[in-house]
Amino acid sequence: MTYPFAPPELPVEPPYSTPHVTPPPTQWPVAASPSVVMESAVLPTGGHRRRNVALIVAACAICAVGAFAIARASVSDESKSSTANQPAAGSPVTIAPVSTVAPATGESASGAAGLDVIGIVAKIRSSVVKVSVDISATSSTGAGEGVGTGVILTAGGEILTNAHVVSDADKVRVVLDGQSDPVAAKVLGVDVGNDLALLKIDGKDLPVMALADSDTVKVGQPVVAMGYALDLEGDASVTAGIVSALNRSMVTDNGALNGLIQTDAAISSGNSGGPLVNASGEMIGINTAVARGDTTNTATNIGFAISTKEIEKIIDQLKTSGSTDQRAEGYLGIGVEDRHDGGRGAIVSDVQSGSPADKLGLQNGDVVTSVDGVEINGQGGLIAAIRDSAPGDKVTIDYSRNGKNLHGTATLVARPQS
Amino acid sequence: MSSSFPPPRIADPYVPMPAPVVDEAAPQQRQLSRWRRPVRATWIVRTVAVACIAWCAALVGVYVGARVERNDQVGTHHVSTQAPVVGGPRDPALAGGIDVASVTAALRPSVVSVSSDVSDADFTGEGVGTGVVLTADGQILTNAHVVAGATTVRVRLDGERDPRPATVVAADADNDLALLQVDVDGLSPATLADPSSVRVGDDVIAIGFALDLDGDASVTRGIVSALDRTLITNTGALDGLIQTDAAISSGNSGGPLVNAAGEVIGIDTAIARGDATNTATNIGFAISMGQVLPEIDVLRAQAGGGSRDPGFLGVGLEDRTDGGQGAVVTDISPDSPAAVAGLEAGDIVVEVDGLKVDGTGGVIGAIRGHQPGDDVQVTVERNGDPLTVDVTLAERPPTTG
Repeated sequence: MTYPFAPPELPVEPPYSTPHVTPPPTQWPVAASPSVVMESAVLPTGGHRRRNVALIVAACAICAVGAFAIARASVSDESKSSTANQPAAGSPVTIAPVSTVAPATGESASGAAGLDVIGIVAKIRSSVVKVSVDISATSSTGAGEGVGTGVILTAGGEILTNAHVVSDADKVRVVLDGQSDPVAAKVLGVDVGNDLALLKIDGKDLPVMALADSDTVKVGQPVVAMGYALDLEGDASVTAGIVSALNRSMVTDNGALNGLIQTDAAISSGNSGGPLVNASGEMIGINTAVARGDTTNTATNIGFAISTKEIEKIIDQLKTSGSTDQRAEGYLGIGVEDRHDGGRGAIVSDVQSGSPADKLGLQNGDVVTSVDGVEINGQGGLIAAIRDSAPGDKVTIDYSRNGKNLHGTATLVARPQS
Repeated sequence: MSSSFPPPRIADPYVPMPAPVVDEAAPQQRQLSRWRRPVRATWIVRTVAVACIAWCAALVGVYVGARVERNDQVGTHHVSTQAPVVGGPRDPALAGGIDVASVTAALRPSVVSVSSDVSDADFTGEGVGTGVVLTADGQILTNAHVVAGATTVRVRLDGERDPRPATVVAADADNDLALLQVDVDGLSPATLADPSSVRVGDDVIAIGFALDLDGDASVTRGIVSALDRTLITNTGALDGLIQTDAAISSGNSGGPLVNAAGEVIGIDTAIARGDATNTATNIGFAISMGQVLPEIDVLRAQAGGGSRDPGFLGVGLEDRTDGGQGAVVTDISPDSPAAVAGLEAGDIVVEVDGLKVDGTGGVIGAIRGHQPGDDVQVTVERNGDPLTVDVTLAERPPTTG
């Protein structure tokens, strides 16, 4: 038996936090203020270390993610203003996967005080599962074990979780509520760009999670998050909070996520793939990432969940796609930056010659303000909007140049091989 | 900001959580030994205070403490003289809990994003904080550290895509408040709460541009955890702070802490961060309206010229190490007001003008709130007996060397 990590001993941070150092995929352009690192909320546990949970949490969050920025590396990487999308100044933001959801229907407007958490937990607990994976020795972190959370979608055993929970996994297991032994799970489909994966276990009459009507989610509504935070021994953890914001977007290693729900319910490593539910016990999102501070900035209770609206769009695709086929994403052919003046929109920085953007007439310095009528607030929103489309799709783009509002239609292509 | 930062471990959760998990390899005994018991309370407090400053700095890269007294462009703009809107006495309904969605909807038009280009010896880049609309004709309240060192300040109003230019009417680094002016009219001013209406346990929300995330301001919920906190800062001390467990992050600076009636009870300013030894979870601080309301007048007067000098007492102070309240006088500057009044090293300052003060920060804050020439009553404990002396504060003598 080999363990890829140093022996556990006393839990001191540095030795544990280096399982894999990948250059940070995203640097958020706001200079000093938002240097937060986004990490996925999956908890990688390796060999002996798994019990020293408290200590390795942060490290775990980082290594498990892969798809997200790496906290350690990100800070020192500021100078690296790479070709594409990174604005130069500013510290990186780390997002760890987390989830939060808002209440679906007719609940009181009041905060968590009006929340029957006990009733909600009783209702949803049996639909929340632990997802445990063996991480491949060929992964960048080396062999190990990871733990996340999943949600039962169908009585026949389809389970939704984050793609980053099962990425690099040799073997995926699911532990149902109240069971002591895991059962083997098959990965039906993975969408890395949208960070969702569909698993399948043998089963019938399994308790299914109810999904909320995503249009009912409101800022301020009370929510509950449930998940295997830190893979603590025993049942899943329950935390309560509110919906802090809607329609957040964030840049990841694999593109960008948008339509995210932000919550102040506490999300930790291991919550990845777990539900954020409303006061009626209906799922409004899948906890996916959490913001972490760094030496300069503080991030407190800023968690992100993929909304059921995004999930519904992707779920059918996942069911039909081959297990590891990657969905074809649209390509516009620009680099993008966030604005540096506090305004909204995304700045076009690097128009590729002959690309759809070039044909449309986009120029460096243009500020893209909406895609297909949906407002773009930053680079993450633009990247996600394009990548969510498919090659061949026509998208209408509103942009401003020197204060003048312009408008055009681009036909997306497949990303060129390079 | 250099690229040689140490890895970002400070805010990581692996500092001593009361982790219930015991590994065979790490027996309980050993684990416990890592958790600093709260014996050294003063040390913890100090650490927290220092950490807060670090956080403030985050917004603008470095908290230089330089005052932005006036902006060259002031004068080209109308500067508001409208009175801020102040709420009435405590509404008993405040005890009934907060309707987050409707309070947020009501207040959102009064919350703006403040972005600054900062360029000084230590940092060049953009900082983002939050501001509160004070008057319909464009005056904005924010933290001084949000605009410290700023060469350009912009304000983005709720619902707008592009920022508008703003001028710094006045800023007071000591009290960490600043007034900005935007050339616009018809804004929705926030209602500021009556300072005496705040109670520990009240439901509150914080609204602000945490981490400058794309899109609208974030809303977080919590309660008032404590009142009258004090913090030592680079430029003095803040006192009368409201402590909250609503989540405050970088970017919240200058934003409102709001009660169930939708009134602003504080300006979110600092947050405690843990370190390798201690954990700090949801300990945020807001400057209370008891400080803000008089400071608005001071800042407006300051805009007319001249900066406000803080009063000077002439004592060195340290926190008590026995868990008691007050602050210990360690030394007396010769010929200072303190020397004239007969204060001695070893005295424990317990009240200023009849109001209890606790900790070094509390005394500094109370003294700095006065101006040179003000008469104050200082009550000390000497050998267990209370002693009250009258002191006339002076100007801080120029530092030599």
